[in-house]
Amino acid sequence: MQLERAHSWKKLGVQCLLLALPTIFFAFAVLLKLNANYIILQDQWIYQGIYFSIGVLLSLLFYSWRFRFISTALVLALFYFIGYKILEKLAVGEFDMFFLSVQYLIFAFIFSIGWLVGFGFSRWRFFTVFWVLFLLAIEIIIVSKMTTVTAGAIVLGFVPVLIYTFYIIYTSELVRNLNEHQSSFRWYLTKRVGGFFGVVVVIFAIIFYIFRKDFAGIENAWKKVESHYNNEQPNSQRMTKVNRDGTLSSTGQMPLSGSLNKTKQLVFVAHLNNFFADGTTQNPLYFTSDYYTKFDSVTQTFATDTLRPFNDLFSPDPSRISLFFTKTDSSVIKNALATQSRRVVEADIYKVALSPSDYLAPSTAFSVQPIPVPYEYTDQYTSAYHAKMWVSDLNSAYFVYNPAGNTILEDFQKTRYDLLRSDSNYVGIDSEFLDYYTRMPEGKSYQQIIQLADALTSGDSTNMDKMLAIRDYFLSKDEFGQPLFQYSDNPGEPGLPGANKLAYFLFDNRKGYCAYFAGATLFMLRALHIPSRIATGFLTVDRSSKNPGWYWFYEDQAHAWVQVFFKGYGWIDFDTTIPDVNTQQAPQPDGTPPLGTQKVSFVADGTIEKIDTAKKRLILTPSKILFKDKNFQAVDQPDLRLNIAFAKIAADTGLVNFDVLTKGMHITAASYDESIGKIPFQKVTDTAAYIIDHLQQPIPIDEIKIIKDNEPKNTGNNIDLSYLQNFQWLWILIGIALFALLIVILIILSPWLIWQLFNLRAGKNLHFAQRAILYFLNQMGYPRDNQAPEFFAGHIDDQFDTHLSMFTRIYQKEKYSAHPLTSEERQEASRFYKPFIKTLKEQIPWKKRVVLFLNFYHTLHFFIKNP
Amino acid sequence: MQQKVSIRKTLKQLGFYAPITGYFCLFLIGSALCFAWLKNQPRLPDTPFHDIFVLLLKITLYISCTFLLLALISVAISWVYFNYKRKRQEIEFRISTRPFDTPYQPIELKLYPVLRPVLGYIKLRFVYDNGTFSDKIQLVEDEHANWFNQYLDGFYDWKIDAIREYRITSVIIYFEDFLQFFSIATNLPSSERFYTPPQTTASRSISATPRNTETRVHRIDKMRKVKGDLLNYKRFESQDDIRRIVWKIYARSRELVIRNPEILEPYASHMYLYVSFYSKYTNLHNEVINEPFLNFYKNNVWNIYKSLSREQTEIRWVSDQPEKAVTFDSHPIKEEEIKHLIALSNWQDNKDVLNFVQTKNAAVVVISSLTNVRQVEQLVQEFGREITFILVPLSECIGKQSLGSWFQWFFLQEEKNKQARYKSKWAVSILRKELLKNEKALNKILNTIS
Repeated sequence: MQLERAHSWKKLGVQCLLLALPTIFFAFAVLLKLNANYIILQDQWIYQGIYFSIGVLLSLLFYSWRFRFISTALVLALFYFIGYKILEKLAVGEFDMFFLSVQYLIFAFIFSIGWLVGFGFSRWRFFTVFWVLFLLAIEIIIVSKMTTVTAGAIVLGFVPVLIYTFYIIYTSELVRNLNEHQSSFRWYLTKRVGGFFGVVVVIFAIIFYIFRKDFAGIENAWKKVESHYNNEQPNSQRMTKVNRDGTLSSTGQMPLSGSLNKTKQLVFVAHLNNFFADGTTQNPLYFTSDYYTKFDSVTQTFATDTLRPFNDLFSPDPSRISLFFTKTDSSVIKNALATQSRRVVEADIYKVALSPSDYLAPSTAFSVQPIPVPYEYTDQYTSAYHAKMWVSDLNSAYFVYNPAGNTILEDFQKTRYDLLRSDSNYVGIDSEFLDYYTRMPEGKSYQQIIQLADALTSGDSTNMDKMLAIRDYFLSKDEFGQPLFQYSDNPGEPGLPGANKLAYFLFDNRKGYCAYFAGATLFMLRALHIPSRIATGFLTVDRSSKNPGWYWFYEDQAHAWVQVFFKGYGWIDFDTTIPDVNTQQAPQPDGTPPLGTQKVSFVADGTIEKIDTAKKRLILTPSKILFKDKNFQAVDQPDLRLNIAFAKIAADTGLVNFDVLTKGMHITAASYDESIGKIPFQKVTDTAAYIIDHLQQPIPIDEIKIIKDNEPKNTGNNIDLSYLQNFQWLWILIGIALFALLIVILIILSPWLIWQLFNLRAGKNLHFAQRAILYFLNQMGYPRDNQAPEFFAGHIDDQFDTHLSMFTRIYQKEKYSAHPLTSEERQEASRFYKPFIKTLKEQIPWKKRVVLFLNFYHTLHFFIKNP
Repeated sequence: MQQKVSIRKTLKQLGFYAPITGYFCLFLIGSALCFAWLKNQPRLPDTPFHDIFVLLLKITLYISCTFLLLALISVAISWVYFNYKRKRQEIEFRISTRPFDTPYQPIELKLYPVLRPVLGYIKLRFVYDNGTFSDKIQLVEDEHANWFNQYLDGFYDWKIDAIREYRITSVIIYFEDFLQFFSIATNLPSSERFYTPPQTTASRSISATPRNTETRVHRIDKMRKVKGDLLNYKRFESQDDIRRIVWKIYARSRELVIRNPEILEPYASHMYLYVSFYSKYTNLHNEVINEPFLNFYKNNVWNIYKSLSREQTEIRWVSDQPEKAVTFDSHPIKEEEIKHLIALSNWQDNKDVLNFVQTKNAAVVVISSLTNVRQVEQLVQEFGREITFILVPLSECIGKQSLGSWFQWFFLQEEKNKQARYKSKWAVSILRKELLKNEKALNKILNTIS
């Protein structure tokens, strides 16, 4: 067997240096990233990189001889197999074997990729294109999923692969074009590779300069987000969702999934002015964000329902309400259907990671007033609001959590249970309301839940006792003295897909997180025809801090619980989730609360008319003003001159710079200047005009808040969406088809069009006439090719009885002879062309002519032979 | 007379002028596939994934377009510049070949002025023998030359298999960009001729005896040694050729003498080598007979000639090529001319062995496996003892398809010449059996001699 070389040793060296080496470097980098993301790779990127390198280099060396790929790859596979068999013999123990076989598979896979790449570089020209494009696509995805979103990280992550792509396309062709007969490549390659990098630097600099704003934009928009692409298991959920700006919001739904993800992120801090009867002991209340009254039994998901009857959820968007102005909805108080033991409680909420649009407050909230964050705390809190709630005296966070030995609390519980026991029927309550809040899905597994509920509450007559019985069931112990139920963030799922997860939780697994306890409680209550619903929000933990009334809310406090409706007392919170031992053991060290809110004397809300950046003044067209806590409409009032030199400018996301303010922007400007409050206040027909008139302008402003107007959300996102998703493929296809049709028609007609051009030019001189004649004859199937002109003309004359020979003779004379043509010759030649074509046309029937003119190959042949 | 044009050939030739390369098409297809795949990626709401993703896609698109644009523009400028210069007839173009004795024909080429595409290539394709296209090649140039020089000056070692004469009718010049995506071509006419010589391989010893006796006139080199010695001279007589007067002697002695011509007439001084290109199967010939077999035969006869010439100085090459017969009578035979003659030779069917071989003087007769058995038999019967017959077994050119060769085929990819194609074509050829039979018969006859 004679081994021939496909490449010389010299060329092999160049391939290793210019193609293999950069690829190996690149592979190391990719493997490093992949190892960071996939545990199965066991963080052995160095070994894997070495496997790849050996694969590439060996393959390059091997295929520099003329070996075929497929047959040799089969031999390689055989070697793998033999290697595996040997490994099987060597390994002792099952675990050893498993570990080794995983290692061996990784080795075989990576080595094979290296082997394929080596072959591609060596012998398979078209491989390189697919290889680099594939890598580019993979890297686009990897880089897009990077966790720390900064412009620098994106650029650093992406530029190498982009350079690598074009470098390999360029270099593989450069190496392929190397002439083996060249004595040395050194200088040639240095120049070309150097030149390429020069071009790359220029192009990349320009393009990345153009896109610098987009990078900065993405960095600003997402820098606060800790992306969780990889540590989220496929079947897991979070109680909150992370927004684009890194803030947290309610998810709007709650599926029952295999595991729960939580973080220790501080979401907000609140001051709640709710105390027990003694006036000093704090009575913490759960902060509600939403009610889940709908259950989808197919996906087993609890969700919010905007069409629920007697909607008592107040959900304003605080970011769209002007600073210090209050928004109130009294209908929620009416819908709360609570008249007994209720009073108004106030709370101040300072947002940290909570979305500016979100509103959370203990139920039943009815009022919101955005307030500024005190200056010293602006780096901790993004925005704040003041909330008012219609709160039941009987409501409390304490139900499952019952600090033992606290007499006040024990008394409170006893009192409220007794009160709630007093009324246990729903006579006079709207039947639609009762139907809606006691609805239960059909099915065998739900029947089981009903039976359980009946069994648990067989001895209880009142709704309160039933509720307590259910709680006690969750807290009960089994025959071995162990707790029957356990809290778990990873309860797992029933083996059978689609099986009822709540039944699995209640009867088999008995492990779960809040959604399971709340869901199970809800359906047991509803089985007993007690109106109930799931509330979500944050559970409030009284950490007995030095600041009474202040509570800290972390992401892992996002919670779901049950609310039970009692006639006259309305909805009361009951949390049946048994304590999670882990969370209890590690309380968060809380910080200092934002104290020291100043009293505001004047607030103006409106749009910016003009900004003077030098003097830091602005002119505001007011729409409403607030003076001495009183709100006045200020439409059609003269513009206000504001001095904003010392103003703190805030957006929903925190403090911003002065230059963010633009003309036409909706802002609220507040002044704490006490002297303003000193103007004598009189109630007149147009109070706003009176106040503005008496103000000393420019008004010194301390606080400016930029208000989001109700513009369509995420317009930018929609554009991006259409960029990829709403691509008008159909129209593009039709366009391409039409274009292709046009091209086809042009191609079909082109022989005839070319003939028209030739015919047009034929009158100019003998040369063009001769070319036109040759073209026409060629198209009619009489190409001249390599025949002598006279010989060819003779044949044509014989065939068609023409005088082409005469014309050819004159033409040749004009072209080659030193003697000029005589006038007779000139005349003869000029008279020749038209009758000649006419004679041909007469002798070749037009149908045949048409068919012959459609033959594009004749035309091509003509131009190849007569360029 | 109406002619048909080969669609396949025309399309292939048209492909040589296509302004974009297959590589580019592949790049487009690959990009489209990647884009389709990326488009189907889940959007992962509430993560920065989509924003970064779209930005990266955009940048990739921009950078790709910039590269493509740069490539296209640089190629287009070079092409336009060249054609502008050509229109103004300012192009200098020279192509030359020189004799060679390796499998590579060196072709030297000079072209001025050209503008090289940025980091790109200028490649060539030779069109020879009326419409056969060579591979696309790149000249070997001085690697230290200035980047922006306008001279395309270099050589290319063209590997040519067939031993025959070539005429380069035109050269296609391709301006190609650095990514090899665009390739704009232009055609330059040329009229360079060259021939590929047969290859010299290991020589073998051939026993043959010269049979022809030729009379030759020798010049007497020696002057007379002794005064008055006129052994080789005679007095000038009026009918003698005055050109034969020895003026030296006249100068000394005032005698007009002429040389006696010395006639050399050794027995059987000359060896006549008859090389027959006769084939009795011309109507069955296919590509295999006309190319690899002919080359094989040409190489063999050349090596036979070389072997003979090593032992015998007086060799006469007798050709049976009708039109291209070269007479060697008037001057000594040069090896170059023999090579050229071999290159020009072709199978023929009008001069069979009997008509061709002059039995009086033939010393060596070289025949191929395509020769008529009966005629050879007749010759051998009559002159088997005097004339040496050499059979070139053409079947040896393409070896048997043994198990080993299958094994080799399975693991090794042969160089991209036509060898493999010839092999399979020959394996199914109708002529194969006939030829093998003929060859066997010829061998048998020739073996009867000894």
